[in-house]
Amino acid sequence: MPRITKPTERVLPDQTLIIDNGAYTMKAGFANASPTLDNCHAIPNCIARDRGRRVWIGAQLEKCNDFGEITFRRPVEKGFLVNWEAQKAIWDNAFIEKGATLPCNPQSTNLVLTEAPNTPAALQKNCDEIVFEEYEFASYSRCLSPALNAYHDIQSLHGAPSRDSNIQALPAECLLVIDSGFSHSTVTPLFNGKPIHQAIRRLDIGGKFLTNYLKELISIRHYNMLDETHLMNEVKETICFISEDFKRDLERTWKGASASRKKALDGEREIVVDYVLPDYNAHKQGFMRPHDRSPSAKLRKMGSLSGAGDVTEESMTLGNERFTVPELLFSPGDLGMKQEGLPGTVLQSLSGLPPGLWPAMLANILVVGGNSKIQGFMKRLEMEVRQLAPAECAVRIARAPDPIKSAWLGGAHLAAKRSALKAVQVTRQEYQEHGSGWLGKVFSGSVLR
Amino acid sequence: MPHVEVLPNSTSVRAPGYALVPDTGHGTVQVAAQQTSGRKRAARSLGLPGGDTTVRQQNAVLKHLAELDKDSHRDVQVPVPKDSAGRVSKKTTPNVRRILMSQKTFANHLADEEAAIAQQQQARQSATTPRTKIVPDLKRASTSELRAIPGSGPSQNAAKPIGGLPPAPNRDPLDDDPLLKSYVPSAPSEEVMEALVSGPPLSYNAARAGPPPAGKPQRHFCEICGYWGAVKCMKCGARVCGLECKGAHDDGRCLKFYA
Ligand SMILES: [Zn+2]
Ligand SMILES: [Zn+2]
Repeated sequence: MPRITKPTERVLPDQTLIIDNGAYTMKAGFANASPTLDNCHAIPNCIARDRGRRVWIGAQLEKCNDFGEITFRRPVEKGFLVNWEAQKAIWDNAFIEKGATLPCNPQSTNLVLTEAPNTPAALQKNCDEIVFEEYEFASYSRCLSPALNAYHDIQSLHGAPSRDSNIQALPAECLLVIDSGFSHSTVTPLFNGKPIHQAIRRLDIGGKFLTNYLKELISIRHYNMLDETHLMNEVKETICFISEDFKRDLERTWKGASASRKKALDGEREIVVDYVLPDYNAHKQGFMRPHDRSPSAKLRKMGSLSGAGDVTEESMTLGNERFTVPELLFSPGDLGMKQEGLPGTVLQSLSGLPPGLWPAMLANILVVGGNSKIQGFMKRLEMEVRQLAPAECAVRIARAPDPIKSAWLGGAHLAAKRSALKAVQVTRQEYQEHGSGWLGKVFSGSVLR
Repeated sequence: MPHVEVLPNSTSVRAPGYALVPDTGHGTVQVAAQQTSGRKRAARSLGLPGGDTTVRQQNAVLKHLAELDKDSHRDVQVPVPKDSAGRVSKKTTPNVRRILMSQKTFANHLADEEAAIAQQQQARQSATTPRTKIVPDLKRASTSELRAIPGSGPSQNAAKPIGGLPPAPNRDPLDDDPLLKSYVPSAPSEEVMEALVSGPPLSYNAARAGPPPAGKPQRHFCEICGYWGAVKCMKCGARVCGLECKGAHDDGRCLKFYA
């Protein structure tokens, strides 16, 4: 039975820090009356060690320019904040220590912190205790990262005239958030900004999985890249696209396709490209360029044969890797994974809702997360969701203007609406009075204040 | 009935140790057919299994998937720098100390969660009185179960589905039913919505998306070049596209050498 505790007038300080604590980067910044993306800093959420054994914490990595064989330790594992020893070092570096990116005195700051859907309760409790007992934030709320996206003007994102661009009119009533990030991809239906938990579904493929698969393929076909995860992530972001016609593209990139057959399939841009590997010693970035089929290019590729002083760049020719890797988001079965792709996951989520909600959810889909930036992602997702959805439902699907910082900006909009912020924050005093068990119930909605 | 043909660049009749596998309808064979008509060969006549169904192969797939979900292909220890404030300092509370010292991984926490759920369910089953009203249950039926029991909701063990949950809107038989196609349901009432947003979260495992509808065949790819993997290595089960890639597989990749 929901229990209503004595209503207390919560007095909150003016400053609010919003942290969307992702596995790859944490998106952090202070809210203000009219927040913009510029107020948000994407800080690598990791401790890294380079091949010279130097250790870099979070934002320090911006100064690192040798990523060869660099190794990472990430406090967020599979999307969930697991290791507080590492997380504290990164938070301290970002918020507390001298030279912090976002210097902050927690005792006079409200914290809005995100977590991934379906976080195990023990991890939630750890998080709550660290926030209040170690950092001593003045007030705190823990919410699902996808849920903060309800605090955007969804109508205008879908190209419809804005109903009311005023922050006070938020959150959106019905919203289905597809969040495809580093660790996994989730589908979260929201009603008035609140998650409908029974219908949240997760596909266990994220950007990390794609990077690792590309790394594996390149290691089989070109160079051993098993220790070059960072580079493989860059290659992935540069070369990958999601095919509109998978079978056709696979034929086009088949090494055995005869010239005439290739011609018949052509008429579009060439898929095969060369990727020139970076030279960290010479501070040269890696880059992609059209595949050079000329004999001289072959000679050049053999590098040292042409003698000293010549260009010594190393490159690799990439074809079907460009689209078979991100294809996994749509067809996990290609590697034997027993899960439906992202469009099917959307429909599985809908199946957890009354059918009366389907039209409103399908007409208000927002896509966030780094994978949505892969070329062709939105087109394919929209096409397949439309195919799967009931014919009488209109499907409207938009990508957030900045899919990485979208949840953060939503959180900043929430914080700008003072009454909304007050409604979700729990003060340190309340925590001290009622304890962490009570706090968990407040955040899960089973105790009303 | 599946038909299989020898790929165009094959000169020998059949490579020893390799099996042509039934095409699963993804174009592999159709393409090859344009160049190799007349060399048809029915898969059945080879008398070889087509699917990757052995326990060993399934385990290999699971191991591969787990491998691809790791942060690094080997265990790395990056210590928190000593001069960092990340160390446990004196003023910390017992809670904070315990949390900062914890070396538990996500797998550990997940195992704890599953154990707690199992305990909860056992307690419920051993209760003599029939289950009454709302018992929060973090499990939900798997998608396959859902399909087997038409009309059941995703949380059939939990609080009776709110608002009478419909069968999955997947492309099951529903798609072909013209009566259902034109059915536009009305929006749920305020009470239903209130109940929906105050429901408890699912467990990590319960929220995982289920498998696609049965009957969707798996696509296989050549592990060397990425083209359709029409040929299966008899020794290790890996797929290759033809003889050229088979050679490369034999030289370095065949699991026979790892085993
Ligand atoms: Zn091949
Ligand atoms: Zn083999």
